[in-house]
Amino acid sequence: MSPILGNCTCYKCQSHTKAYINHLFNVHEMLARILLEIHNTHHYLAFFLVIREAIKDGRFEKFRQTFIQSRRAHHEGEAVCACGHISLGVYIGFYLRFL
Amino acid sequence: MLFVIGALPIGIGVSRAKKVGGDRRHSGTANFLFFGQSGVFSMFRGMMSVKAPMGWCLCFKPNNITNKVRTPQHPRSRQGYTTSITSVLRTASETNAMALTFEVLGRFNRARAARLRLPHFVCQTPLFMPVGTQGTIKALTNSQLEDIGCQIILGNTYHLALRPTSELLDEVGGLHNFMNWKRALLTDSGGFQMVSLLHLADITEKGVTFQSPVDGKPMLLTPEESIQIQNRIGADIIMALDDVVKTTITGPRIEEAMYRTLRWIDRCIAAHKRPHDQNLFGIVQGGLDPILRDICVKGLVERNLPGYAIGGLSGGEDKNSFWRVVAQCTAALPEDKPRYVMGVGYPLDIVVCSALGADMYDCVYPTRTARFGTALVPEGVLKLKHKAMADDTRPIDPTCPCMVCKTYSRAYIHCLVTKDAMGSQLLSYHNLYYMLQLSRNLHSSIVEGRFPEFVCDFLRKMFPKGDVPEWVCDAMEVAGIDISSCCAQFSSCQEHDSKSMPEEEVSLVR
Repeated sequence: MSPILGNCTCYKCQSHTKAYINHLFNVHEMLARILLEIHNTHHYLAFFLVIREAIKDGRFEKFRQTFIQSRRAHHEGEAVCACGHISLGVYIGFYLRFL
Repeated sequence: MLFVIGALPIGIGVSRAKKVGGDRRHSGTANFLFFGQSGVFSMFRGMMSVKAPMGWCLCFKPNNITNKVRTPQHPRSRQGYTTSITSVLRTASETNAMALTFEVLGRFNRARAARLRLPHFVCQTPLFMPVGTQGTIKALTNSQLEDIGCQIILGNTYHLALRPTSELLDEVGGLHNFMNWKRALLTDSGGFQMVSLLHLADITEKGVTFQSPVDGKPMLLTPEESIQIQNRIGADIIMALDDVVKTTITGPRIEEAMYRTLRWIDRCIAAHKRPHDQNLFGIVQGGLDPILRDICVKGLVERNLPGYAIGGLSGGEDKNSFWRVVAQCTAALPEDKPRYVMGVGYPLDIVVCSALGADMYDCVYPTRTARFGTALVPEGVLKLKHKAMADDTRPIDPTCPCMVCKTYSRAYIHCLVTKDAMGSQLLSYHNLYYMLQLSRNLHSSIVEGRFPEFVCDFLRKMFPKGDVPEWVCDAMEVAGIDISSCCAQFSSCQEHDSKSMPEEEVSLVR
């Protein structure tokens, strides 16, 4: 009974578990898509916020390298998010260090 | 030393007798169980004399006590159901354990506004309960539901038992935890879905036999199983399994279903393991037959349940019959218990039923009609799929303070309806806001002593030409509300709304 991402502050992760979202998908409820869209949009906005902050502070290159390394490690782990695409979720903790 | 703290007559059945003049005194042998510090400790047989109401007689058990007690039933009922003495004891002693309080705050004749205190939320009645079949109100988040003032969500036992399963829900601490809903929940018994969704359902005394939608194997839903599933789901209000028959059916099947519903309620009470956390409501059946409805009401009231539902009134019966059944049942049900009209959700129906003394309603209509592009407005409905909406920049309802009406135009929603989840979400939000606001207005108008004015205002908006349907005029007369100011001459009262619902929308209910 855990959210998609433990440290995500989006409405979906603060309110609902993976088990509940899984149930909504299984019974073809449109709320499943709505909640995932909320999460993914929040996630992307956080991602771009980190990029903006990194550029502003002159450490974008360092951010880029670390990001690519962790992405490669993630590829090797073959973790896939609920919507079938490689998840940015594994990097959220990493992003937060840059804020 | 033992102290007697209560006595309970066992096996006294009530049956209707031919009416005879004057009061009759009947004497007979009754079996008593006593409750003391060490539990049930003594049993004796003694002669007793009971003053019975005219037209009723008490049937006492014979002296030879067996370990089985036949539950009270009408002589015309076809099959009895036996339970052990301990379960009957449990039935009688624990039915009084209620997980709700119902406090009437205001009245106008039969209409009442009340505070219904449930384990998870304190609700105001009259109240409308949106239907969240699969553990969600379609397209709406919990925070949106809280924003619009939703107090109770209805879940379907049948669907939840299939997925995610009652075992999983039990494991995570119930449906409240699973869907993270902090307010109240009500679950139905699953019987209605058996009959409406499964063409091969077969009802016997044991329960409802049906083909599993998963693997096609025959399955049996008994009253005990239904209650066990609902105990696991953990809703504030749970419904007894009833024998569901469409009101459009006539003949002996209606009578059989009513008596079976009464027999099953005893099995439900005996199976209910959480009376201090969950409120078991009984369902009044009996079709459109006032005698059968009366017998069913009396039988259920005798069992002293936390609340009562009026069932079988959302299947296309004519409105004249509909309101008369509601009026009859509400008049006979206890004043201090909530009354729930199942499957009723048209705004006009809710206003009429509230005037007649009902408290709770549920229906899929507001959310389902939203997904087809229809908005509820004081004048009736607004079809947003219509071409005329394409360039209409007004809000859905200029008088509505909901987020959708304050933010979006008809033209924008016209672009979205039936094509995008956002369209369903926005219209569902508005329609539920409308229904919940209607409930709040009913409550406040009764409390503030302006209920007749509210009803007249509601009818004027819905029927600006004064063509209020005749059944509404009749119902309001019984409710003691003068609506002459918003009606045209009685002769011109319309018959157009005599069916419970437009034929194409009969399937929308529950």
